Amino acid sequence: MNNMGKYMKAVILGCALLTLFSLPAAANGLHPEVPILDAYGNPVIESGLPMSTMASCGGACHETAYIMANSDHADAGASQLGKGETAHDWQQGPGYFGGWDPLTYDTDGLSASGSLDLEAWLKRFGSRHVGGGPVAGLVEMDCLLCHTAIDDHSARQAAIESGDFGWANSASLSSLGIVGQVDGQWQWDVAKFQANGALQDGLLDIRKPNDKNCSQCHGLADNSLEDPFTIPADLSMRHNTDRTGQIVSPQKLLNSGLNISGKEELDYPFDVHTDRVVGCVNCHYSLNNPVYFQQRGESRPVHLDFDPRRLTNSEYLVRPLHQFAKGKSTLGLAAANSENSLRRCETCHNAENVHDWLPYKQRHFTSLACESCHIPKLFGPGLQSVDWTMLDSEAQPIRKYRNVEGDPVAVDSLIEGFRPLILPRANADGDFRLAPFNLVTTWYWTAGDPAMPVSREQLEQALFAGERYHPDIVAALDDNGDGQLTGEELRLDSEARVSAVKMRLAATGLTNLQTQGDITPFSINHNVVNGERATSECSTCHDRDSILAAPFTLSDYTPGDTQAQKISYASVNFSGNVQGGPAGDTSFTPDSRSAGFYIIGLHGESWVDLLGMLMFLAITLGVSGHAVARYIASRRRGPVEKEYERVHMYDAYERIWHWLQALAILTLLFTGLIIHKPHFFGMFSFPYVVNIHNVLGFILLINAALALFYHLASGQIRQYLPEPKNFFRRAMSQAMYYSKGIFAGAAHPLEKTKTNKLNPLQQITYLAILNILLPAQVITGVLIWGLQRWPHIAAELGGLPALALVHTLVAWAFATFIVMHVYLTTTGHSPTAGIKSMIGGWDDVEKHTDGQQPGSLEGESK
Amino acid sequence: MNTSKRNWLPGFIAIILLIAVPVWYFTSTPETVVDKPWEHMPQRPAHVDHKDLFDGLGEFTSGQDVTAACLSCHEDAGEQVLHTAHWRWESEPVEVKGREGLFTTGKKKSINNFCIGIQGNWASCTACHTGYGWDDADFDFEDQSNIDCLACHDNSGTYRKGKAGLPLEGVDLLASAKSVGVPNRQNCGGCHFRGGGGNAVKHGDLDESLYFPTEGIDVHMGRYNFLCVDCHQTNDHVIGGRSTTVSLDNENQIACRDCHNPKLHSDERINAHTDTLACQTCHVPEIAVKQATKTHWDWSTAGDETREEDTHEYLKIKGSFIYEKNLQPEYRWSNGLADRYLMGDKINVNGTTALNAPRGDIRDPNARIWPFKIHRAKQPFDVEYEYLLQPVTSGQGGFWKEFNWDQAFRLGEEVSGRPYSGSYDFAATEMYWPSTHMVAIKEKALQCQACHSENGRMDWEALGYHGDPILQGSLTRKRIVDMKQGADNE
Repeated sequence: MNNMGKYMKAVILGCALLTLFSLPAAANGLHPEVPILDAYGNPVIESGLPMSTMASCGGACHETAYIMANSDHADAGASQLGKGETAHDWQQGPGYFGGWDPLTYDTDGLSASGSLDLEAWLKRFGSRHVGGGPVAGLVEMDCLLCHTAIDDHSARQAAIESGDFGWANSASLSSLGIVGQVDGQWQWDVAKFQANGALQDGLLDIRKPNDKNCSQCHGLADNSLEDPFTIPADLSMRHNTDRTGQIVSPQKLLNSGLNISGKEELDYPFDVHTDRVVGCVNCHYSLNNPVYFQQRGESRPVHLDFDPRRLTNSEYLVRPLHQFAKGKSTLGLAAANSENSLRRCETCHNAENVHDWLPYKQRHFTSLACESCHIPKLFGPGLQSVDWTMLDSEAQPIRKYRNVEGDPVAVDSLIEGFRPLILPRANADGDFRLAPFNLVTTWYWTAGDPAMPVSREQLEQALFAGERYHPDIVAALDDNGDGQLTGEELRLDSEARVSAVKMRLAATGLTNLQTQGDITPFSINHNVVNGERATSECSTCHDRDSILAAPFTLSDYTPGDTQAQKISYASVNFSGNVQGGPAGDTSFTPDSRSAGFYIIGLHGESWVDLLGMLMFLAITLGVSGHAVARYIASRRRGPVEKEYERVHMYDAYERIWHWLQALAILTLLFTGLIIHKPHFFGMFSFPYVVNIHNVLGFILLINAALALFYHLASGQIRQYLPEPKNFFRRAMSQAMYYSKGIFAGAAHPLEKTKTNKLNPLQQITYLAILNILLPAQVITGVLIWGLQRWPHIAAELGGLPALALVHTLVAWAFATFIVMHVYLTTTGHSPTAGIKSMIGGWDDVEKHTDGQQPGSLEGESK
Repeated sequence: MNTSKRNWLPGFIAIILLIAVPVWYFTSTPETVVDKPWEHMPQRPAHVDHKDLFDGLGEFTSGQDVTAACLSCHEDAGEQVLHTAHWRWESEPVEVKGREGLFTTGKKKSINNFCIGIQGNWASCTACHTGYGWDDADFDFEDQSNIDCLACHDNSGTYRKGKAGLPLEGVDLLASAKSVGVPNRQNCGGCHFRGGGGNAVKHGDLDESLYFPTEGIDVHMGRYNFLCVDCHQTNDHVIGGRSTTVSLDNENQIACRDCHNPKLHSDERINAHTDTLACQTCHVPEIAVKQATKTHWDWSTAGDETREEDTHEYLKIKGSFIYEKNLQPEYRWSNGLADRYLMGDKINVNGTTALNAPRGDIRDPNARIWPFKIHRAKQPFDVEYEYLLQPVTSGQGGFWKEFNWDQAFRLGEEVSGRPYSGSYDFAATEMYWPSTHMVAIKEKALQCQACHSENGRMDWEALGYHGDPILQGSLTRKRIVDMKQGADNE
């Protein structure tokens, strides 16, 4: 009876397993169990030979030759040898095969003569290569790598590394017990097969790739919500995580197993797309998959948004293109055919509908990649530098992670998120948008002529003597004298250390030894957060402390004092400066201004502000001096008796018009100043002030238009037009009045009447203001406001940089004018008379008696 | 001049508008859903200290003495309690869909798949009755003097009940009476956390970890210090809340939506789920968070003296069990009602009989997908009459003493009046326990992948979908809900 409980448990477990296996999506029930064939087309259980994927998967179902010929993963850039952009002379191509990736240090297989040793290459890099392509003669393309749930490929890796290429792909099946080694010989387990040579039902589930398959090479991806996410030991194999800190997981950061600083606040998933069940292949689909297929814009007639003609599913399954939708990656496969085939965020998302809060949304959309705001921080370990000039005791380079203190794999290493660097990146259409990147700096030794990177073997030979460091190396580097080299002792940051290593390298026969450095930008596109978590604070960019101009740490030290060179890829505009710090540390300061971006609140020509300020100060000083002189003169002179007459000078409309305009201009100047230099006005909300500035601008414009209409309709416009007759003389007399007469209490040269309010100098000034300054300001202002509506017009006029320059300069001119204008209102018969008349409408006007010439000194007439 | 003054007024107003309209237009903010759950929280009544109120009322020698003292002031309370389910263990007669006539149900006459039923086992079961002395079929439910006030109102923590609900020997009734106040967690939990015969056995979402829970066990009780009665609000001693495990109707029910706006999520995608999912489906991701709960009970193995006993695996008197901790609920449509198995109903002899299968399906606009703990059992039935049998277990001559099923059913026949053919066997039954307590902190609520992924929690086809609606869509469901809303609006 004791067995009953166990029996019941077994029944229940059985039911649970049944339920699990009957889940519809878990298995691909459609794929038949096909005979596993060898390269000659015979069942492997009969021949005992290794499996041939090309034969087993090929035949009647999939055209494997087509698949391999059109696989970016198999080609790995081999077809691009001798083509494309290469950063270094010793590279034979831009891609994985025959290229140069200083992070993985793939010199192996490269020879000075430029030929490639395929076997050497395969042994070193085969575990990251699907087979086929350039090494098709050695290892077939391994379908199982991506199309099964097998996640232990260590047997394949071991076979490749040992040169047992023929059995490499079959070896993966050993994790399911289908094949195994007996006395060093691979043998198929016949019990796992059916009579026709196919595997037993359900043993091997062939299906579309899921995130785990991609994760083997590309970066950490895990759909599990149950087990807290941690960093596996083979981090450096998972490039997208290692190089950028991207982690593709639906887990909320606070539920993960990572020791992230302040994590309890991080109640959102690493990657919102994974959270929302968007898998890798949903975006990186096969380019002829009829579900996703879309003709590229350039090959589609303009009248057609969607072409309904497509492959049938069976046609697709026979010849599925193994070129997958992708962007443009750094140190990638150099897949020229599929580059930039990926749909952009905007093809799925309607940003327009959900960014109503964002001022100038169109402008932002055309200047910024969505990722810039929607990937505010990375929490995975992202490399900062990889130093191959020295090796650690395990013959690994000195890796420094940007956001982790200590070993990135250890669960207790504290992780601080890091904000990616924002650089201009070219879209498929060639337009540059600001997008997030990580920069990884690498250093390495080069030798020979022409220079080539020193190989790993040579490096190890120079640095080590057997299991331990060479005594010369220890002598030069071991600061604390413990016989071990650890931590900062491994940095070649002094002349003595550099020369010690150099001597050892030279001892192995290398000449012309140099240290060299690369700064490589890696684009960041995953780890997207939803709107709630995205950067939405304007001051993040529109401020002096903008992230668009903030220094981005490159390294904590500089081995061999080598200035690393920026490796620019076609899609990146790598403008900015590398600066050294006092401790040998270096940082990169991006310069989006020189890349053609003008960020309001951050950028601005300092000479414009200097000129404007000088003008403003000069006038302010001038009128102050004039005021003091007037005061002293009037004290000396005593009051002057004049006769006045009360005249209704300004109509109500004129006064309202004037004061509204005055208010608008003053507030525009103030809000404009906040927008121009937001860091001086931290208390003001930037977007709010921008809104106010825009509204005020239009109020000013409409008010000016109404006033113009009034002046035209009423004929008052004539007051603004200088009478040519005697104009020069009258202007001179007005000038004389201000420079001389006013101190002596002379009569105002102009007989101010309701129909003749403006003196000649005023007329000229207003003519200039109304015909030059105001239109310039209004036009530049409207164009800046309208940047997103009519970007082309703005672009014709030099774009935002030119418009902003004029707008700023004219703003200074207006500020200067206001000082002058306000001061001159005090030059009436009493200092406040002018202002009072503009408020009340009534003015006391000097009576000009006959015989008294306007402008003549009263003293003279007496 | 007067005319000109009047003339500028319209202009002035126009200019004010010229300023005000754009400012208003550019600065207006969109509406946001406001969730103010605290507005729905009841004010707990001020505590009235009863310490000095029992002077001169004589000595309390029995529970009934205390009740008399209570009722001497709380004159209406007795009458109120007489009409409650906590006292009667039986519902008012209600109509049941698919059956003729009116039916009552309740613990008094139901069968479950734990200890099966109280008939014939009164004295043991009624230890949790809010009354004194119910030990046979003749208990007088109109006699206020047997009401047990202290079961719910003792705040001293020292009050204990035994057989037939009588206070245990040694309980200080006076101290207990002096302590009375609003029911606290111990009052409710003393019975409800121990349903099924012990801590954590029955519900899965109610157990003794809720006496002093952390926020990780229940956010309301752990983080905000809720009492049971903060949600289970009480009117004239009728306590709010219902479970389909005993009730036939869904009146006087409690819902998350009583306090929370279901559309409060900032994420549109999540709000789109609230017509289809109960809040609990995401917010109660697992139950039995701290203490394992019973998920399987096989009565057919009971009585084996050769087998080693273990409270969580096998007891000779009860049979074999499985307990599970951190239990992931199972998901079913539910409109709040259930097809309750009533005494004498035929069972599915060869398959599984659900004792309270939740009603509702994908076409029912009032139904939502709910999380359930499903308790699976093998329990005795009459082979000839094909109905579940009520054995006498704890009573005189019952199975727990004699280990004789036949005798237990014959005794059961006497008390229930339902014939026993003499031939019995064990049948598979299921009970559905809605998981509604142990609400997780929002950070632990289910995420998309929990259901919409290869190994997700939902059995979509069993729920009536063509497959995962993320791939297959759920137009039908949306149309049903929209039609219902359209009809409601008319």
